[in-house]
Amino acid sequence: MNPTSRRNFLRTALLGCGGLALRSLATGLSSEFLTERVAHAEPSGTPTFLILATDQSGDPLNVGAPGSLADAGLRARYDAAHPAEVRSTKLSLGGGVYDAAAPWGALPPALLSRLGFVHHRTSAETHPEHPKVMRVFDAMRGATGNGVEMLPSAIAAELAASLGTIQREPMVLGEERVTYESRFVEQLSPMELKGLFGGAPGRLSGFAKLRDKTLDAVYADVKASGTKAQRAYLDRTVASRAQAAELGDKLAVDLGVIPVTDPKAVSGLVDDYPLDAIDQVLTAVTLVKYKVSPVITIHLPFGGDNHHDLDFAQESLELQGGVRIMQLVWEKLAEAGLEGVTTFAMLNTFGRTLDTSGGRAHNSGHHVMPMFGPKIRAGVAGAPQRGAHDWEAAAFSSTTGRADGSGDVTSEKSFAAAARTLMRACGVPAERVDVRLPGATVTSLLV
Amino acid sequence: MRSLFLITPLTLIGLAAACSTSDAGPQTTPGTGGTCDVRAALAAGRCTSCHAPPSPAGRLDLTLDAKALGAALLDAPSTTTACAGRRLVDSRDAEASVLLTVVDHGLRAKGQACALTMAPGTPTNVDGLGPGDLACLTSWVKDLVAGKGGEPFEPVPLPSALSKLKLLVHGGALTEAELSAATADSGAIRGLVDGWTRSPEFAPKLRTFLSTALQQDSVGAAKESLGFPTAHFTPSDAIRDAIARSFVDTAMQIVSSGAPFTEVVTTHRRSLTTAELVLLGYSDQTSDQIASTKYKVRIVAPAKKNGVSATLKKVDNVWELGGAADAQQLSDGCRVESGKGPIPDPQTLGSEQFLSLLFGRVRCHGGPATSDLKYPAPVSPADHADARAVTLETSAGTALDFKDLAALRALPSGATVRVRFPRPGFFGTSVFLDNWPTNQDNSFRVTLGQTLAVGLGATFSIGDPTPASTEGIDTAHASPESPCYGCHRRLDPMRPFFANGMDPSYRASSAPPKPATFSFFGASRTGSTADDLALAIVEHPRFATAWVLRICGWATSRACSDAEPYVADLAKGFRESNWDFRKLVVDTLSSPLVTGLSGTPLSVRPEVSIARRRHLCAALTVRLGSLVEASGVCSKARDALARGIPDDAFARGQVDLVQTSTPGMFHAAGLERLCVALAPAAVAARFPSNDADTSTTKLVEELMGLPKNHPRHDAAIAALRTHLSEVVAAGGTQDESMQSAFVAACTSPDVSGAGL
Repeated sequence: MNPTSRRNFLRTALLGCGGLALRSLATGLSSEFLTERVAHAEPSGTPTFLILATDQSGDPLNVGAPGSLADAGLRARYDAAHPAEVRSTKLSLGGGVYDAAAPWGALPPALLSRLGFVHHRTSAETHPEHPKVMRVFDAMRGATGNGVEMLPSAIAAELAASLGTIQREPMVLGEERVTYESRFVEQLSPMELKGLFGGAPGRLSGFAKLRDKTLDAVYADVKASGTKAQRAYLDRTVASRAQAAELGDKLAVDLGVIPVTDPKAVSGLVDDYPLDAIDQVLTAVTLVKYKVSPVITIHLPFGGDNHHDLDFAQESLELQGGVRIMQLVWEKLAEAGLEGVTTFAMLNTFGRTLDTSGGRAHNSGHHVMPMFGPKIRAGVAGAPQRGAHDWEAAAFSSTTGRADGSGDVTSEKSFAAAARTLMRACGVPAERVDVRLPGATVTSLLV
Repeated sequence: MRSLFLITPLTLIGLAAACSTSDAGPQTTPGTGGTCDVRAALAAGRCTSCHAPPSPAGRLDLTLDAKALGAALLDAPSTTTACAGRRLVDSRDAEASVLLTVVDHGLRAKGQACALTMAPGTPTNVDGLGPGDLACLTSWVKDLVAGKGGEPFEPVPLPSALSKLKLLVHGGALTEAELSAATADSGAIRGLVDGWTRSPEFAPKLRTFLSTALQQDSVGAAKESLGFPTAHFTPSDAIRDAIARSFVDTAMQIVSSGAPFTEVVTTHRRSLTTAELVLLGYSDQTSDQIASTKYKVRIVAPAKKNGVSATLKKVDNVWELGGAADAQQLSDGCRVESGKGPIPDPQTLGSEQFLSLLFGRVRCHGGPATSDLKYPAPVSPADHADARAVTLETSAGTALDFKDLAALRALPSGATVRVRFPRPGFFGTSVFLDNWPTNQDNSFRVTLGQTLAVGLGATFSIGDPTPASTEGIDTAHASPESPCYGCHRRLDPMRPFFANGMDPSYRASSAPPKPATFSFFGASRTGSTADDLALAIVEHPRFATAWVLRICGWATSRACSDAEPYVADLAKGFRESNWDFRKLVVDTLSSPLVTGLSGTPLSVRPEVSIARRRHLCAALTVRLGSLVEASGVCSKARDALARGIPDDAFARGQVDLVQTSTPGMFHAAGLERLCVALAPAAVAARFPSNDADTSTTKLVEELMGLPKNHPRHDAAIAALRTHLSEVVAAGGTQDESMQSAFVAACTSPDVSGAGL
């Protein structure tokens, strides 16, 4: 091989996708930005990362969320049926006072000042509709306004350039799979992810760059004359190797804290809450710290598929534990200095019924999306109202958040409104939100 | 019209009436060359009664002006179940556009269309758009796609296609002779694939495919549905492995013997261990029997050493558990039931605790739940490894007594076992039911959904034009006014196929049987048992297509569509071969559908994928030999290094396999670690550093799979030899240089990818 060809190849690679990874790491700008300058409109203001908790089973988080228990009769039935630890209490939030399950009231004031809730419907009836819910019930469009895309993937695609992340796709740490442009993105549990890095670097690791050079030489013909698909794959492979080499050691150090084996390591954690959730939170914060992906998805149990949850024991356990884990997200972000650049939200397949089947059935009409972050103004938007089958999301005003029969956010539009609000909270420009997901934004919950 | 983007259960009400006819509406004059008013045509067809703001059905607003509508529809994928893989307006072939096929009965009659009709619930569109409106819509679509045929099909280079095919069905390196044969005659490809599928290396590839495709991989809780509701007790990996392996053994035998593949749905044969027979016998009781039966148990000495199975025998109506590892501790401080107080002797146990006891779980007296004592169980390690072929029948054979371990162990191969309800095929297995637990509310809907997803590659759709039964619909769950009704009208009448045999705990049911009705994508059948459901599946016209698409998806790492070229012919060939599955694998893989060596305007562009875990591990094992197994990198252990490589999977409600195809930094990291771990042993055993020329040649030809006549062969050898020098120059030893060259070859896209 001509000795200069390697240099030429690298130069070519630097102008192609592979080198872009290196440039991206060096400049903090994403490869998409480097290739297309601005893939989409520049965010107005600082964009944020997103940690999105999602659960296919459809949790009863909505049942005791702030704003759900305004009806006295409903509140009385809730309190009678639920264990003392999660019975209703008064919660001050964004200048309003709401009835809510007690664990919400235990959150620190600083977090409460950035915590918002949107009452909406997902319209999903069954668990397999989780992917559809992640696509905002198929209302979320692709980048050009055509096709469909998942909410976390749309946010990731819009913000990768300005956040300067290594990859554009979401990173999936929980059980629920995510697609990006219709392809499944890789899913790794925290321990699987940790297993990819760390350990004492062997002697062979010192020759990694030489191996990269060798593989460049092997595949020069593909780079020159392969099919479009082959060239794209090769570019992606080169970029991935560079990313792994750059970040491997750092991730290994930070992920040394998992697995958490002692719940006492987390102050106030509820016994028996799955420790894996803590691992996911710690890993997600680490991935944000190193700008791996704009969006990290995790799985936080909040009561699960509670058809057979006698006395709501599981719901009580996981509501207390889940709220505490949300606080842990806040605390860990603050410890890492990332609370100003990270938004957290939760989106499940559906909520549970508030009355029907004793509160243990799927509720396509009501779900609550909690979210906190630097651009969230504390408060509650919307509320449940009695519907034909159970309580369902009422219409509300996008400017005040108050439930109002003549509000511009109807029940049917409420899901899109919640998703749009999250997109704006993450810093997706308004014009891009409009392309992806027409509808109203809940401005009362945005700073 | 409705739901072209998706099937959503919303706004179903009244659609048939609202969207069905243009008789009452204004007629438009059909135009040519785009001169007609498509908005008017759609409005006249009353399509915009539903597909209009503020909540357009299917989120598809057909009131947009023509320009905006065209932009929204052009090459947008349909996400409906019935039309998956198709485009709303298809720039490659206007008549393949879903927008037309759902309303144009003429196109459906040509076999162009997916099973979706507008308006919903009408088997034909005789009441659909009027002729003038339809002509206008057709004209508009054709104008829209004119000159927008997209990129020309780019064929895959032959060496790339051949390497991928061998990776898929064999795992070995492509040889010089194989590449020469295919280069000289592309018709030789089929013979090569046929030969690879007759080699021993095909068996593990087929096994992993069948395990995932038939949803026999154990991903369930292995708790309640198996009979272990007890908290803090996780059945051993041996149970998971056994139940996951069981039916795959049977399916492998069906394929290897050339028996009709339909038997994976209908067969009553199983390969069962004694441990599984215990679980089967337990679940063959009714829930009432399980709840009401109590067992007196006494823990007896003498103690035996660890690793010795416990004994269980009935003496004077008391079950005596003996031979436990620490019988003294068991008898002094442990009891199966929770609670405090004196331990009665004998203890009285419920069924669930007794079953747990058989598998080695005792809760210690007075302690927390986590203080369970594990001990050598009466169901011994050998009981997890003594699989034998048996036949499950409802009318004949030996009745199972789950407690009688000696009798279960003695059941010979070929025995017939009597069970209380049919458990046919893949969907009657313990692992399938454990993967998809149902409950009183769900009432077998998930079980049915997953069964049809596997068997027919489809799920319920409100656009399914098949006439549905009105019997057996759970109107409390899905009233005709509710958004759920569209799918429940087909789903609910099928539930008795399961419910007549078992209850929602998957235990024997004593409820009186009800009639069951199957109506699904063009086929209808009545019956009452799971066997009847099995017949409905294998006699369904979609059965053949479903398995063509599943093989195609497995091989191409994408969702394949029956709209693609070659699919119909492959399905026809499958039927005509009397369901010879191995032949179907050969036919499909050697078809342009998978090879990508040629294509039509409707062909999907071939992509390159990562070699997912099963393929990577198989390739390494075939190419490197026993050192791979010895290293443990590809073992089933939770910390095996190959766990960092994505694998094929399935998911609830998903018809297609869940597959990660694109490389990323985590894939790269996992691959690097795996190859670095293998390097010392591989170099020592296969690629000695003291014969660098031979070893580098072997790395290229035997590991990377680039034979002498491959275009990359010489460049790869030269690069690896240069690498050896560079590593030594950088301070590495001779061995390290070869190990590093091994890692380069091992991580190369020729090993870690499929299609390069």
